[in-house]
Formats: sequence, structure tokens, C-alpha cells
Amino acid sequence: MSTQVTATCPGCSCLCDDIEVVIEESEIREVGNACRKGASLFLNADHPAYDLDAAIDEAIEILKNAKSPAIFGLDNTTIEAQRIAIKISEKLGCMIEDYSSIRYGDLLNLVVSSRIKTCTLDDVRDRADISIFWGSDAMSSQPRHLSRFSYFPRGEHKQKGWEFDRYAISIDIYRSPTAKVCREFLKVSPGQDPALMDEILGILSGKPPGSKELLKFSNEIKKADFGVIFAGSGLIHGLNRDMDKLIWFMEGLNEYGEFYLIPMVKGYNMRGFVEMMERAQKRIEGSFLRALLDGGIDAALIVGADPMSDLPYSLSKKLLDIQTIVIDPRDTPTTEIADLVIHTGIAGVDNGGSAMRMDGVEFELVPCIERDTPSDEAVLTRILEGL
Amino acid sequence: MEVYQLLPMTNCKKCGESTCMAFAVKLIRGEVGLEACTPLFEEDRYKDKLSKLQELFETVEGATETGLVIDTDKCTGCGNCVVACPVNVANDPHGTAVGRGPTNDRVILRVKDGVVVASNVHECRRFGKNRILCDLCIVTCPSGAIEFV
Repeated sequence: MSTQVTATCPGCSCLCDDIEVVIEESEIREVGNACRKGASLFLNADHPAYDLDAAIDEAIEILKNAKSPAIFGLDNTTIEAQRIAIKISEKLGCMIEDYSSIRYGDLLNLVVSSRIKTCTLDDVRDRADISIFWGSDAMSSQPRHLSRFSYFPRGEHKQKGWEFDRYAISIDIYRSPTAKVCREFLKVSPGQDPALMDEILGILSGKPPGSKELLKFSNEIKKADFGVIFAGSGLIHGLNRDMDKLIWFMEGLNEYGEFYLIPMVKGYNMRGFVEMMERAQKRIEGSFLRALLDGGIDAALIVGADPMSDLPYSLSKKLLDIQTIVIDPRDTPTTEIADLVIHTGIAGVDNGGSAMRMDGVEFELVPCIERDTPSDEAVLTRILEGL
Repeated sequence: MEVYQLLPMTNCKKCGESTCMAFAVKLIRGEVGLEACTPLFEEDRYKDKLSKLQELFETVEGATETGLVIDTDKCTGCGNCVVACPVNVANDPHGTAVGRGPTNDRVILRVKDGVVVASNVHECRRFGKNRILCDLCIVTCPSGAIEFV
């Protein structure tokens, strides 16, 4: 006997809520509509059973005995779990940080505080005349982004979709998969993004264009009433984290139409963490990476992150010298080196919680099946209680 | 032409066509199977020609009867083809046309278990009396996973 439920996918910051899951005998048999990244979260089997009580006791011991612990990760967990993690950091008086500054500098804060204009992905689908992927390879990181929102679909005021009503351009250092499917590709040399921004605004204000591509691009900007820049970490690297330049550029573009920016965050709930910190008027104090490098951390509680994979080894190898507790559904290089691993479930698959899409829209993730694995929130709550 | 020259070229009409050229055209279109040319299989002198023809059509075996081939190793399940396909748009205006999952069974392309699968391929605009050289599912694919042979 099989049942079908509609689920929300925690594969990336698109949080697709049209996933059709077929369940037979309490197991997921088939996943419809989710891309390869998302489908793998629904289809892969869970871990062998372990003694949860002993693991939590050990985590509490490690944190109690540490002189300068820190909490890191948090972009791939629910808002409820993030809140508990913040409470733990307050209880311990310790550092807590996610990847938002590391990957995007000050961008998330500028967007969340409305210093840079932003809109929702539904607005993009319904109104965007021009989609600019700058330093973002959405086809690889958020596979359904172009087909659900930013290029291909028809929308309320964009009835002819990508064929006649929408223009997409990829600005990147190489011809990425996203560049291959966009209407145009503009190659920018590493670090030359500020110069390109100068050139574009120059052409818009009447200076002679340096190339046919730039002329075409500026004409499209002039034609557009509603444009969106999808900013990836490539743009932040290219600007060398100079957010003032980006703010200046956005203001310049807005003289020719309504131009918005959506940060293409990695981590299905990075936006949720940043928004929650902003609303609670909390700031991230200090830098986890700096502290790790300087030997200022002796125990790390890593939640839903894999720093051994995505930080430079010169930094991440410091984790080998300290006590590490990793709370994660997956087996990763970080769980390999961890002193204690607590395997939790996946929100939207076997447990629930809320999360925010990259554009700030909040979604409720509801479990499809039941498993013995606890949620991040449950584990962190028990750790907090034990401290 | 290459296919015609590998046939007996006798116009014996055993396959039901009036000439081997006519049979070659139907063979390429996938409208008839190689087995219809019985002399190829029954007569020894055509052994080499038969094996060359079988080799030629081996790659097409993975294709649907209309020639659509999906390389599931390359497909990332991004759904670009699902949303771009004009037949999908026409048949599912409230689902794939607006970027969501299909709301009915009349779509040609949909994503299942992370990769795209085809169905109702006879509705594809590349086939039938008023066929056109539609290539929207091919040009919108970032990994070149869809092909028509």
C-alpha cells in the first residue's frame, strides 16, 4: 500500500515545496520533481543505531570541560535548532558563527537590513525582465533555480517566459554550466569585477562601449523595468569583499529601473540564521576562523557543516588538534575526524522545523516518514539542559 | 545513403516496400525494424552487411521509439527541459509551465528520483505530420544529457 505526500526539500536554499514523495511500508520509494541533490536526501538510507544518551552525555562533558569552546556551522539546520544553539553559546559564553561572513562578507547583513534592495523569488518569476547571475553557478549549486524562478518559467507578468519575455546573463570567470544555458555569458577576469561595474555604469551614462557584448548587456539593462542580480560567492571574491562598491553599483543601476539583489546562499537555512540574529539584535562576535588559526579554541560543536571539505586545509587541520563534536545527518570528512559524531535526521524527510529560503520566505518542513534518528533541535535541547 | 548501401539493393519487395531506398528511409526513421528485410538474415552473402547494419543501429537501442535518449549519468534533475518543453507548457499550464512539478500525466518530460524521464514522447513536436526541428530540451540542458538520435 503506497501513499503520496507533498514535501519540502532541504537540498539547497531554493526550498522547493513541490516534491512528490511515494511511501511504501514506511520507506521512501520514489521522489518526484526534486533535483539530483534533493532526491539523494530523500532516497538514501539512514545510519546504524547508536546510544544517543551516551553520546549526549559525552557532548555535555566535552563542552563543560572546555575552556574556550565554539559553535560553528548552523546553515543546514532548522531555525528552531539555530535558536537552541544560540542559547547554548549564551550559556557557555562562547563564540558562535555560521558561514555567512566567510562566504559572503557583509552581503547578507546588507540585504537583511534593506541597505541593498531585495525581492522574493516569486517576484522574480512573475516580473523579472533580466536575471544577472554574477559569480553564481546556480545550475550546479541550486539546480532548479532557473527552471522554477529566474529564467525559464512563465509568470504572472511574464507569460512568455524565457523565450520572449526574459533575458538572462551569466558573469563569471569561466563558462560555467549556468553560463551555458543563459542567453549571454560575460567573462570577467578574477578580481576585475569592480572595473566591470565601472564600465557598465559608464556605458549606461553614455560612454562608448568597449565591446559588442557590453553594449548588448547595457541595452538590456536600459530596457528592463525589473532586474535582479543573483549574487554568488564569486562576486564577493571578485570585489575583494568591497561591499561599498556593490552598494554604489546597485544604486547606479536603480537609475535605469528597479534593480534588486538576491544572495545565492549555500546552506538551506543560512538566510534564516542571519535574519534571526538580526531580529534578536545579536551580532557575531569575533571570527571562528581567526580563533581556530590562533589556537584560541579548544572544543568545537559543529552543526550541519563540513569544514574539513569547505575550508582550506591549513585552517581545517586545526580541528584535528582540538575536541570536535559533529551533529550531522551525513558521513563527511568532518565526521571522520570528529571525536564525537551524533547522527541526526534530515528536516523535511524524517523530522521537521522551519527554514528560510534565500529570499527570506519562510517554509515549514514536515517529516514524510518516521525514523529513530533525533532532530538537531532535540539533540541540542538535551545538550542545553545538561549544561 | 550509407544505410541503403548496406542493404541487398535488389528491390525484392519482401519487406513490403517497393524499393530498398524506401526501406532505408523507414529504417532510419525507426518506422520499421531491420528484421523486416528477411534476405539480410536468411542469405549468407549479406552477413557482413547485416553485422554492419546492426552495429549502426546499436546506439539507437537505448532510445525510445521516437529517438529521445537521456544520459542519466549527466542529468542533474534541474528541470530546465521540463519547464522549457513547449508541449509541457501547453499540456500543463498550471504546473510545469510556471516552474512547478507536473499536475497531470500529459507531460513529455518530468523529473523522477533526481533525473529526467520521458513519457508520451509521440506528442513531441519533432514527430508526426507537422514536425519541426524543436530543440528546446537540448539547448536548455547544462550538461548535454538529452539527445535525439
